[in-house]
Amino acid sequence: MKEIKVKCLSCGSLEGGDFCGTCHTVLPIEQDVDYFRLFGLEPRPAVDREALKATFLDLSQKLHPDHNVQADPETRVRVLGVSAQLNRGYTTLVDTKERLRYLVGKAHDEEPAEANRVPHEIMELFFEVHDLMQEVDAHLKARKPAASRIAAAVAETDVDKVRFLDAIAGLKARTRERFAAVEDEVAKLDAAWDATREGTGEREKLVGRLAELADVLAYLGRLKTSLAQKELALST
Amino acid sequence: MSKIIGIDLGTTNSVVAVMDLGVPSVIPDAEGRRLTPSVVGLADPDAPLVGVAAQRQAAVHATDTVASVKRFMGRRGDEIEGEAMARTYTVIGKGDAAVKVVAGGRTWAPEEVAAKVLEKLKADAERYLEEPVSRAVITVPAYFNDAQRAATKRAGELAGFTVERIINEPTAACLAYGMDRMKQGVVAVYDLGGGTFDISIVEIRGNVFKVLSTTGNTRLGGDDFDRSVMDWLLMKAPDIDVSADLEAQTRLKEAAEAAKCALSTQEAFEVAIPFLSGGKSLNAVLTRATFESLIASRVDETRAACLQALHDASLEPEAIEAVILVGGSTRIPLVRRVVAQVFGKEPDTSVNPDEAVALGAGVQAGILAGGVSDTLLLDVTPLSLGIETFGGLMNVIIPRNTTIPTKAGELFTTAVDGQKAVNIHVLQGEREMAGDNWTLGRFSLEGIEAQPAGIPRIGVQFTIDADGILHVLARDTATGKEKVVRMKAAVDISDADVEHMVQQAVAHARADVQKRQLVEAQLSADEMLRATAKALERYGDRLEATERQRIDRAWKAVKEAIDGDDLNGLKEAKQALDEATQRLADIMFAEAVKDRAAAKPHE
Repeated sequence: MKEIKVKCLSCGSLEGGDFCGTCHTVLPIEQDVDYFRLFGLEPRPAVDREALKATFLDLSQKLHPDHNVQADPETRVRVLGVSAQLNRGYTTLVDTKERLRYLVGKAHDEEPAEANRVPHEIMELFFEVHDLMQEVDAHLKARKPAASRIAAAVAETDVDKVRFLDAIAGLKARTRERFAAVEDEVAKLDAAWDATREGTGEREKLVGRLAELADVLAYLGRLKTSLAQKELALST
Repeated sequence: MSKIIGIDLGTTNSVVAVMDLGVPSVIPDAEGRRLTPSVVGLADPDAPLVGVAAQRQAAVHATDTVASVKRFMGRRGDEIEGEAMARTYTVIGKGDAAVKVVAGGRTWAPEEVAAKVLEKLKADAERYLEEPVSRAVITVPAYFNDAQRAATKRAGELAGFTVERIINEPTAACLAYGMDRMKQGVVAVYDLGGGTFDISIVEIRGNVFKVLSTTGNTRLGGDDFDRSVMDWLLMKAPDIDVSADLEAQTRLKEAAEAAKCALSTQEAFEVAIPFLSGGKSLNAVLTRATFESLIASRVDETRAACLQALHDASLEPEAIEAVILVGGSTRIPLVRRVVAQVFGKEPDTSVNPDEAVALGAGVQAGILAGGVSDTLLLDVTPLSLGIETFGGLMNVIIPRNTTIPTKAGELFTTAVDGQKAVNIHVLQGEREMAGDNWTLGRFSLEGIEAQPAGIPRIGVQFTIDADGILHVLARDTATGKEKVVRMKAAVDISDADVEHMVQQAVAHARADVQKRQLVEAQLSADEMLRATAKALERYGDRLEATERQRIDRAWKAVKEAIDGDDLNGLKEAKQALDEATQRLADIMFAEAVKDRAAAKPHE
């Protein structure tokens, strides 16, 4: 694990890791700590999720407020901050979209804007989902809540409903395929990452593509959620 | 330092536990009872009775005996309108005002009543441990909002506790379950108690318990099932009117509860209440099939919540290795069938559904006391938190299912030139419009430098501590002016307002409920007739001739009753049709599941 050197607030000695080796208090983490460094990783497109989770749980064991209840008030405040950073850091790195956005943000020195245009590569899927959602909405709007079980059973076997659920299942599968395809490409770009150097045009091109992929993931996420929501609304 | 105890403050029953030599155990009361009914007798406000003692005098002091007060914790008037819970005491509070309970000639905040239960548990623990106890971990339904959590914490403080932690009930149950049963895997905790329902998906890895998602309904539980049985019993005895007889209502509720519990193991239960009201007795036989038809729609509501929780955790049902059942209502066979259907596997019933939550709270108490140092619980916030922005929209700052503790912030700006103050409206909930969500508080940040609209930068930071309670900080980045706010429980109201509300509550009780009920029953009967006809058309050939005849007869009876004004007659006819069509409905549900399985692409 890569060491983070910080000055211990309690005894002033310079320490690596999360605990002060001299006086054993929890060390502070600066507000805008690098999440990759927090988990002892190099900033890059891909992470080993299992290893990341193991590191996260290990650090949480030491740095969670529950395991520092006996500490002095100052340490407890610090622990709350550190623990919140760990939780956010883990959530950011474990999720490919969030991780890519974070990496792009670091490379460009500012947080990338939220995706607000449908990426070309998933345009077709987007419109198919969109059209189906409108049909389903119209169907749901015309539907009344069933007041008896037999009415619910009739609604359950409704021809339109069965057709919609089939269509949703199909689109969900295609969305999953797209997610997998993005993950594959991220893995390829990760392999190419070391061959490019920071500040070069090649690296910039790579980062640009990662930014596009983050947008694709953002849209795929939205599609996945609306499909799931409509599926739920239809089923209940 | 004194021991920390774990308390499950339940809607119906409460349980207290403590860590003893690394194992959590339930503390019994002086009579050896492990469950304390969450019932408080306030006929004499200076000498409150709690638990079984309060239950014993409930029929005599119906209006002064408070049960299920948890349903009103941290709630405002407009949230409890239409609360169909069976209760004999009065609650008041309208609109934004906090709900209060009227008993023993005065008004009580719900947390004051809950504190009486906690005081009794505290005394039981002190007698058992033979030492003073002043520290506690108290559980709440995972889907409780910030105000309900704060009210629970306050109840603990009123009972003389330092509340070391508020933890979520399903998470606590999972802790008790996982301690010795599972080393690695994902489990679902299905918690259906007396008044609340929660579903949580938890990943267990060694000694770390990480909650992946949670959702629920804070107004769904055994109380609602009792209410359904009570309505059915009254329908069976149309000559008995208990609307003005509180003692009879209490006895009816007890009978309904007994029938419900018995039907978990028996196929039929004979309800007999001699001289219930006006010298008349009530006798009826409730079968399990009828009981299930009475509660089926409420139980079905939990299905949607389970699917939502799975989606939020990005998991398919197959990924769940065990489904743990917690809460007394999970003894109902229909509930178990629904759970098995949703998750595609039989639920795990190895934990005691009444005690698991308290035992888990005991484990968490042990963690905080430093005795169980290798176990760790990583919980989430159940509802999204944010503030109101332009156009009355809710801007989410911390999305639901975020692991806590957490901190997050966003920059906002002014909407008008020269604006010197901003109002910050803190919200909790999942709806897009601010007005549809729960208001946690409003405050204003003043002294902003007058500048054109869009220029000032106001940072709003939310921190959720390990109790799941929110702290808000707002800062004008130019002047450095800040305001730190801790969200308080629902607003207090003055005594004069209370008086006014008591009168209004009484006046409103005289509305013509009867007429509205008839219209509603006619509408739903009409729907049933159409649905049954359609169902017979499609699947009628799957039925035996006798079944078919029974449905036809019941269908005709409803058809004849629908235009009359005999509410009870119509209800009976509908009930008969509902029962007659159960198997037909089952066939259709099974057919729908089959269709869906066939449509699912294989991976």
